[in-house]
Amino acid sequence: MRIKKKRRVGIKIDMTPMVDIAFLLLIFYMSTTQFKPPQKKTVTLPTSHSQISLPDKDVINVTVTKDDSIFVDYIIKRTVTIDGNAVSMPTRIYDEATTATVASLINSARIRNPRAFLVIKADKESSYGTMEGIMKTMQEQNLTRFQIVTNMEQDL
Amino acid sequence: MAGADVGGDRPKKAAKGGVRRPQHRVGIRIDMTPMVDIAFLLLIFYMVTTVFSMPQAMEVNLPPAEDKQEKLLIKESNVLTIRVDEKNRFYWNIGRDLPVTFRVDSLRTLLVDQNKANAKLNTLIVINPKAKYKSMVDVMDEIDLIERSFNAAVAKEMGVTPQEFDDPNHKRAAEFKERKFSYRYAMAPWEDRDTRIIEAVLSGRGSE
Repeated sequence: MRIKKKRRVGIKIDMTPMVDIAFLLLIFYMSTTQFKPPQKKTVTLPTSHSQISLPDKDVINVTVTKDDSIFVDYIIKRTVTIDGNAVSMPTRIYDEATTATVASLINSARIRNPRAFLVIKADKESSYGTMEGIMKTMQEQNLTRFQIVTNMEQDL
Repeated sequence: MAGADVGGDRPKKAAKGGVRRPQHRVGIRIDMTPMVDIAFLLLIFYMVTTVFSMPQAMEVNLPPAEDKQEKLLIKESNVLTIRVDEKNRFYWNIGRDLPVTFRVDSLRTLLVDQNKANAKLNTLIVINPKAKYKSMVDVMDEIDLIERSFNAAVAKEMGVTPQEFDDPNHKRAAEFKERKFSYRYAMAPWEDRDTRIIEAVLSGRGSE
């Protein structure tokens, strides 16, 4: 039996709705996106149920990495002379610290910006001993109020 | 491929018909493929790089330095000790009882139940320096949740929302501050004694 060969039909799909949706999503992501602040060291944060949002300005960051090294970083306004004019320019200061020196580094940052919030960002795998040491030296220097950074806990 | 094609099949038709129309309207067709390609590329880029959950912060208030603190003597039977050993196992005991292991998830119920049983209870948290920092955050988070649920109940009783209760600029803020509950706990350094206690617990269980 002979089968009549069907003529091949060219398929044409109207892609307009798809492109519409794609643009819609594009605009949504472009407007809502917030880029992660640059990090020199990657830190996996622990989770909590806290609702307080992190301040994004005037922050002194203390970062504790997985291998228990401590870094203090903050932004200061530095006056730079450009073409004979004094211009203030934000500069990020990045210092490595130990549990013994962390508080004095924070204090020197505080002098430059007394309003700054103290934020401790520690890796969840870092040891409690490091944190204990940091808290102890801070306590001795009267730095008793600070915030620790956590991610949102996901309950099922 | 041309970016823009001018004209469709209409001129052909016109030619067939033999009617000459010199001022013919042309349908413009623009090839949108490259634009859509770029749009998708950007879409994928933004979808991948976007961060939806910005990190949260937890407030910590340390007590003043030790030499400025008042020394208080507390009866041993009023001390609930939470220990976290170097393998991140949690133990609790009251006074000189033998510590019992428990899971972090049940810490909240444990603290609430024990505090209901003894109103004078003080909680002491002892964490091994080799334990993970996560354990400390877990303990503090559970305590924070207890405070929040308790304060929510107080707020409800006073006829305000928990948000208003926490608002320091609220006109009744002073009144709220008085009623605000904060869980009484202290953190103590891990000592050799704690290691011995935990070892005793573990060896006791091993012989069973």
